[in-house]
Amino acid sequence: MVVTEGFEANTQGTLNDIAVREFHDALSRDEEVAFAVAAIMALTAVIKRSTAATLMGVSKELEDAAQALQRVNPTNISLKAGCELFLRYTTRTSALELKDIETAKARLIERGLHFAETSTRARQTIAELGSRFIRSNCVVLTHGYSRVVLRLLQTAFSSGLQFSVIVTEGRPDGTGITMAKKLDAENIPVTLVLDSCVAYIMDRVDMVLVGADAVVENGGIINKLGTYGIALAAQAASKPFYVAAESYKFARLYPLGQADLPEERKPLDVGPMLPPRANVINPSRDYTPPQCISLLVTDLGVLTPAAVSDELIQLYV
Amino acid sequence: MTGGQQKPVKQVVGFHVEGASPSPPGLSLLQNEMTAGSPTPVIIPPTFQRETSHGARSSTLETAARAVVDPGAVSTSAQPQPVPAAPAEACPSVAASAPRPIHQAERAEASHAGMAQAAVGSQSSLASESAMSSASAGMFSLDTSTRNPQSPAPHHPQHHHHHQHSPFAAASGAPAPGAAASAPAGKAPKAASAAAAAPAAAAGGDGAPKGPKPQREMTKAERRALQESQRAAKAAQKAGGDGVAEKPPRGPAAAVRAEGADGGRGSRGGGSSVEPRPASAARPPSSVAGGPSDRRIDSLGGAGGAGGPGSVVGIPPASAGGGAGGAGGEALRKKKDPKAVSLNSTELFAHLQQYKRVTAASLLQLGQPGLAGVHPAVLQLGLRYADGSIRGANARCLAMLHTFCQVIRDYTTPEGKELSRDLLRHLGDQVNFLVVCRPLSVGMGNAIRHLKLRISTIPPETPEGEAKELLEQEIADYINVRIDSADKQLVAYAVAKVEAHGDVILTYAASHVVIRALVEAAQQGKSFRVVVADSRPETEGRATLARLMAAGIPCTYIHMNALSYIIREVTKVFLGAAAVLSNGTVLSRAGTAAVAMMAHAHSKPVMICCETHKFNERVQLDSITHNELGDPQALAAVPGKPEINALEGWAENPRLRLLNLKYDVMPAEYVTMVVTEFGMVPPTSVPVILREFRQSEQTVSGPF
Repeated sequence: MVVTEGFEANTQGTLNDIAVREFHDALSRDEEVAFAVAAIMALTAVIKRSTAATLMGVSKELEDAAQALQRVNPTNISLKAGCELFLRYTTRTSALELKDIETAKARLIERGLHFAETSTRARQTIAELGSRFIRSNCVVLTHGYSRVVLRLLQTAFSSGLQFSVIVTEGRPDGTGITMAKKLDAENIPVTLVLDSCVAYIMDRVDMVLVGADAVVENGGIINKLGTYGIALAAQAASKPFYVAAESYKFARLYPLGQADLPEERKPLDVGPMLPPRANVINPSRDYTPPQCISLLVTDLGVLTPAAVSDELIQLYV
Repeated sequence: MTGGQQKPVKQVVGFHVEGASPSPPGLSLLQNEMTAGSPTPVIIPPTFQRETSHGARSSTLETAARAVVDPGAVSTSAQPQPVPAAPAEACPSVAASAPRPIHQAERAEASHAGMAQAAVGSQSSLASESAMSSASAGMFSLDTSTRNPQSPAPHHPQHHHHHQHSPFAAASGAPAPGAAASAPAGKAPKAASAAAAAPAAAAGGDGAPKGPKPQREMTKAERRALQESQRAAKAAQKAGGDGVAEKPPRGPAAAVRAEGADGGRGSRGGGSSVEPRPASAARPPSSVAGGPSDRRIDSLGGAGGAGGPGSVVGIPPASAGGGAGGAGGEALRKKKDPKAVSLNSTELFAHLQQYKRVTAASLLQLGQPGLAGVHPAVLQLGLRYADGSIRGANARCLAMLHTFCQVIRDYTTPEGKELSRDLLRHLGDQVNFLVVCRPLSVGMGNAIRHLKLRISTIPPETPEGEAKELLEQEIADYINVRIDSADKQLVAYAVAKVEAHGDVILTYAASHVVIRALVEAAQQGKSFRVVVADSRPETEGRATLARLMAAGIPCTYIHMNALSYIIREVTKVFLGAAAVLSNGTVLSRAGTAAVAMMAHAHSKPVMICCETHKFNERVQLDSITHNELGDPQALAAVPGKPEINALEGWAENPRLRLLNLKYDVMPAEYVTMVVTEFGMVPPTSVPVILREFRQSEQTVSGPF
């Protein structure tokens, strides 16, 4: 047990531990929960346990806790984005003109819980909004394993709509195969293709639907490697490219190109059969610019890429 | 334009074909009218065909009549009396035969095309010595009247169709030689008398009272057509005005305007206002014409040129309306500048404030009345704008705000006036003067609007000292928040986008924010090199180059012609902006759009660094609707290279116009991001930021 003697460092350390513990608990409770949502729940717990006397103090504690959470998983952009958004959302001072710290904290907790609840429900909201885009007998192409896309397709299928899904294999981590298995379990007709088959198959596809690791400021997305190529092929073939992303994934990033992405700690492993002197470049993510994206289906509504910035500015400016 | 049945039209319009065989005898009548006695045919461009046929018809009848009346009268020398009589008889018959409404409409159209022809006509009047009668008699009345300036304008009262043209025919005829005569003298009184003669002649001529009549008789559509043609003619005048700067004619112009202003104002409204208007419509492009700002400048220049107190029109009463300006302008119809409007490419920019060099000398000559109410600090500021010693959007805005602080400090409310209203008026005077020196930039406009809003919300019972302190504080806050702090934050965001190693950054001309960002990045230890693109005539890139090199950054310096060569080496582009508009369009120094386009074509990211105080709500789709014209002389001369003199004497060449545009516009699709003090935003988010500011403005100004 950590002895709390009123030293701030110790208290913070305790709080950070609490945060991390809550985070892991949330993850283990529900395997479907997103990292960012779990982090939000953890931060809400921090507010509850906070002993700070001023609003600034609470803010500071939250920031430190968020840093601690990000250290758990540094490469996850949506975790960072979610934390930042939560901090911003809860500490918007214009609505917190309360002198009493306890009331203020109660208000913060209320906001935090509301944010966590919205985020948990986000997938459901997106599924309902997005399933309207799927028409009868249409062919949907997807890439990577996205739980929100899965939920969307499940919702559409369970409403009686007939459609089929083409899934890319997703080497080398095999996420596509995972997705295919899940879809098959729902009795949705699924076709598996190689990653390199996308341009070939684009003519037969009616729409492309992917998830996102993060949505950047100009409305572009960061997603599994290969998304950009698919987006370019879809644009060339005049097929709509839809992204399903929750609003806590809106990140304050603005990449100028592929080289401008946040650092990755663990690039993917290509495999053992490499020539000894060959260089390997194998990032796990790429950046799709907004020009290739038709619409983003989010829990805030169906947005154009330009509207993402609108939302972010409203929150941050 | 056909009012000049009075005299035989002597010129040929269209293209004179040398050496071709004579036309068949069937057209011989036509030929006699049209050519200077040579058998070569004349080709009339299709636009002029209708008038030609009209004129041809009338002249055919005219010749027939003449042949009956006086066979020998057809000659190549100018015979005002007999010829007008014949066409006088001929035309009414023509008129009677042709259905009137069409006739009128064609006249209206003729006046539009006719101004060009008149220009051509008058030019050929210079060229050709022999008198020729022309088939399209009406079109060339102008030059005929030029020939015979003293004869009263209309000789055939019954030719009322063409009356709207005759008054200005007379007016143009009289003032033109008047102006020409006074041009060398450059004396206001002489010009005044000549100018007085012009309106007198115009008034005295039969055409004057007859002027309104055709208007009343025209249908509404025809009247509108006439108005459109006049407007086009006026625009053409403005186009002709720029680049051909001649002081002496401006003196008379100002004088005429001063006198004509009263007449013009008096005659405005009602049919008689048509008189100065059609006059200006008929005018070929003259050096002085145009919108209020032109007149302002011209009055300065004119006053400077004439130097007489009587010619001081003062800083614009905008009441010196269109009619007056037109009348004045036409008085200046320059012999040197009679070219057809359609050849003049700067007609596109006739709506912009024409460039006029403002110097201390010209201001001194303007004298106290012209500069009434202008604070000396503002005078100094204006001169520094005019000579280019303060340039760049931020620098100009800052200098202006500091000066306004001074103005407010020195201001005292007059007896019986309310501070908020009177200070607004006072500030407006200062701004008007600054606009004369150099048009406002978008940032300056926003700052002025902000300041005026604050002034207007001062409660009337506030003591003067307190109000002034409030305003000075307001200005200081604006500078601090929207400019200085904004710059610092902007630089921080921009620096974050520079890679630690290996970047090759392209920039254009001089943007102090971009320079600061690059210097800051270098100081943070990032290693990169910069390519500075530059262009004539300003070559502002040299200042950028100097500052970057002083900071130890390796630089490459190119002009625009090397852009396509260097673009492959470049990794990103940083550009400054004069303004960012609501649809994401970026207004910046001329040439920036080309750099952005090149970068976009090669998929290089383009970063625009612009503080939010330069955001504007308007939408602009091209570089023409809003722009600024610079000194055309700057294009003609290359400093330090006197041997490059191909454009020497360009002002005398009637077919040559130099166009020096200061700004250009790039569409949002070339822009990757706009870096502001709030962070990096896509160009589509500009209206969002404007909206947020509008909302916060409303809350701030509430307590006032």
